[in-house]
Amino acid sequence: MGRKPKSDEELVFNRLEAIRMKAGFTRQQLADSVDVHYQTIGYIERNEYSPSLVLALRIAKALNKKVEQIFSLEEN
Amino acid sequence: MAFIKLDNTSEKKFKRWVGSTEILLGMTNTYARVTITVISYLVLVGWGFYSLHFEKGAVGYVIALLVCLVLQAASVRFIFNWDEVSDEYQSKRRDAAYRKAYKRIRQIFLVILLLWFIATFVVGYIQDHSGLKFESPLYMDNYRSVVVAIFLAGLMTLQKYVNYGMKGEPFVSVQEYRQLRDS
Repeated sequence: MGRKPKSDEELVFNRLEAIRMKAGFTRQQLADSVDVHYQTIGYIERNEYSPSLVLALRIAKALNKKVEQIFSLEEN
Repeated sequence: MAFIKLDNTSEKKFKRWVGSTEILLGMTNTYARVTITVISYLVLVGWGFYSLHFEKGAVGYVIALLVCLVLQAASVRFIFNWDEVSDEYQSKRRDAAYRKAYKRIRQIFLVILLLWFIATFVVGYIQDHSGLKFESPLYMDNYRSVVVAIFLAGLMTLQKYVNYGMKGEPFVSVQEYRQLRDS
């Protein structure tokens, strides 16, 4: 299955769902603004998929946040 | 030139629409993917055996396999056919499926070769005591050869869909799908 992180080293934690909802975006709206399928946003929010650097930067830009405010290596 | 560009844009829009349309919901969930895969293998092996044994039904075999392949393609929203329908998650999953399919096809051919060798050995060496002649242990006329070719083509084409994984989209109604999307 896909790009599910294989080890803790690959796992990237995120606060995407909370930040997205606070910003008033639906999954579809955020997905449209970063050019992915809405389910990909769901996979990222559930930590089932670690996005590429480009996608992480796009998401941060769309939500007007810094990447490290959304994504981190440690669970906050 | 402008016409071609407009046409390309329409084509891209159509493919993006295929990537998210609710019309395909009934085929893209996990249960549907498992069902389509089971049916595909039943058709591939069952109808193949019937055609090989009774030497009839090869045209129907091709048509049934094509229908199964179209169902498979629809169940993954034509991700192997059009680049435009996939985002980075789906592209990575698709590429992984290609890699796994390549390995699986290699394994399948090795097994087929091994079985063929053993069958040849059993027929030619042990039963007839005539040495290793590399003659076909099965009676293979033109019709049967075509059926075997159809089977192998179907088996190879199916591999990418099977190795894409059975995990599909959530099993939800259209309303639930919209709710998930718009939450």
